[in-house]
Amino acid sequence: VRHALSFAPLLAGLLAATPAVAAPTATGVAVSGAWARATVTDTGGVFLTLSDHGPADELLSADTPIAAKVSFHDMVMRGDVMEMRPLGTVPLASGQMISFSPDGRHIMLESLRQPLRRGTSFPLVLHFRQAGAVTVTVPVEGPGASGPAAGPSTGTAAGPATGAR
Amino acid sequence: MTQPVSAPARRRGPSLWLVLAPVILTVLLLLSTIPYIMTTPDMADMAAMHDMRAVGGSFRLVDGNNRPVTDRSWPGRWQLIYFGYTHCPASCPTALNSMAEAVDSMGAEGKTVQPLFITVDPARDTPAIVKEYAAQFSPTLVGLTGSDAAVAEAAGRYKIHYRKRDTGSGSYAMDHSSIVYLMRPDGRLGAMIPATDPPPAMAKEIREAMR
Repeated sequence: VRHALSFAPLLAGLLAATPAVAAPTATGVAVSGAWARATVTDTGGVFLTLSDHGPADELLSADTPIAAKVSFHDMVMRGDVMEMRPLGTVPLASGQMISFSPDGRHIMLESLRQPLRRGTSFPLVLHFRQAGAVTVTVPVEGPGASGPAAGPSTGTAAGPATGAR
Repeated sequence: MTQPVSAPARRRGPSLWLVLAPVILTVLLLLSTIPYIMTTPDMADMAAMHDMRAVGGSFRLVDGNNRPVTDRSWPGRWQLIYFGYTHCPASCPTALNSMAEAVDSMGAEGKTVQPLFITVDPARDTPAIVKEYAAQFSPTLVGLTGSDAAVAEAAGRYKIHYRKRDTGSGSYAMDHSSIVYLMRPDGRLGAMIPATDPPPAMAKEIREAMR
């Protein structure tokens, strides 16, 4: 028992070191590589990857205590015009992996209670039809960052490289 | 009692494939072009959309200290211009960061380039906000704003289209042309650079235009 206890801080440390990776839920949606960009305004973006290891599911909504409104958008280029298209829910097929990234689909935070500061982090709750609520910790990177500072998390695919479009 | 039938029967298999294989290959080839057809227009298409000679011109805006600036405020220097807005969650930070990093990476050559951010959302983007926003990316990036009319005029000269998109509950996003312009010191267009280009690619395009 003493041995087990002595490992507890180490385990806790390991868990704390991977804040953006949520373990697969009972029904098998893994959320990985979550990050956000620092802002000076009350609007920000969150980027992450969803992997459905179980049956088909659907991302219904998200919320966070630090913003009044969280919505899903897709960024679509029409000619040279970048258009923001609101997405209702995000269906996830079994086995599907979906990325939210700065050059495409993203999670938009509006009416932030205060601008996102680099080096801080905040909780984001994702609500799935099957998997229920999944909470991830989102680290805030620099204003022009293109991915989480720790690099793409292991076990899931990296976010798409910028410039893919 | 012999079975001469078997020979032609055996031959039918390969001959059928000889006919089908080119058909299947053609269909596959056609299918493989779909991703290219469906993607955003490349720079050649954009160049066709914009008349290169018609892009650019004079603007009268204000900087982060509310001082009037024009396209002539940086004499002898190239200008690297991006139109966006500070509430932009995704595309603008990527572009502005690439612009700042590209110019920084160019050393002495980079010193001859003035990166500019011009808002298409003057209602929310006050001089103080564009100043703070631009400073996040680089101390050399200058943020510009102005009256609705002044911004509309500048955007018009640079063939930038923009439009408010209501996102509900009183907030909005801006749809806008997302492209980086390199303007020559004489005010002519030097290059149109994809806003999604990573910093090294952007630096390369700037260098090539300067040659």
